[in-house]
Amino acid sequence: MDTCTASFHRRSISDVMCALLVAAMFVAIFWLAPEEQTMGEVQRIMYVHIAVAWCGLLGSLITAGAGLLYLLRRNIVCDQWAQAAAEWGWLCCGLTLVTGSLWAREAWGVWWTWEPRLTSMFILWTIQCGYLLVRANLDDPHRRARVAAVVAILGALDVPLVVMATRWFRGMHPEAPTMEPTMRAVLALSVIGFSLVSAGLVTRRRGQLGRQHQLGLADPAHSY
Amino acid sequence: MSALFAAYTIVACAITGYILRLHVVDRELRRRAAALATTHASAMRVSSDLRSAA
Repeated sequence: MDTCTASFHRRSISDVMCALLVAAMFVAIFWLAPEEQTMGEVQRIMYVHIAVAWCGLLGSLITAGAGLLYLLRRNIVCDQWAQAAAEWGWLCCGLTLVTGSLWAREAWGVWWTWEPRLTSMFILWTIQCGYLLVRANLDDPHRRARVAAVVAILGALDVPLVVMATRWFRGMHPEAPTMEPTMRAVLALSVIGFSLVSAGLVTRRRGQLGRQHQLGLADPAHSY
Repeated sequence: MSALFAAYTIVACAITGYILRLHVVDRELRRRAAALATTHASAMRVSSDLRSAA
């Protein structure tokens, strides 16, 4: 079996495992998790909301970490990891804002409020938008990597603010609600599942960026 | 219930979109790599022809 076929088989196996994990997550969220008494069915948004928020914050930290490594070592592979994590982190932060807004409409009666947790998350998302715009507008790979790394490190300074917003400032967002053990287990499964799927997708995107760099091609993703 | 349905549908669509984009970029990279290999092969052939003609 050559390297290409072996890598294709490995990827197929990981794709199937990811699909099974997502299926298990959905079964657990909709059938195993008990219904919350106050909010009812809509509370099930929490399982995906927390999972995507976790992946978004982690994506932002990985982008900053890889950016810092690039600044120290000047290795373009670190910049590829930063880009892959930033794209996924941006998507997850956007999904956090959307799912949170849908949940807020049901729980608080408003789509949006300038509450500390929501505001700091929105700021993080706009910094990630800025990061991707900076990347898209610089042609020289090393200059792009340098400027993007600085933006990513500045953006990561907002992550502790997002995490601690409910403790440091007074707001509407719940701090750490008490949950039944089954709910806690389903939430853990959801967070672990999303993290593994994220790791698979980010690794695959990094591979694409690596291949593209080896071939000396412009990013085909910019054409779509 | 509709908010729950909307939240999960939006997340599923976004992740599916990301995966489809990965597939499209993969295919485009393979196509460009094959085109580069063809150009390289014909350049090598021309160079070899020129050398044998000389």
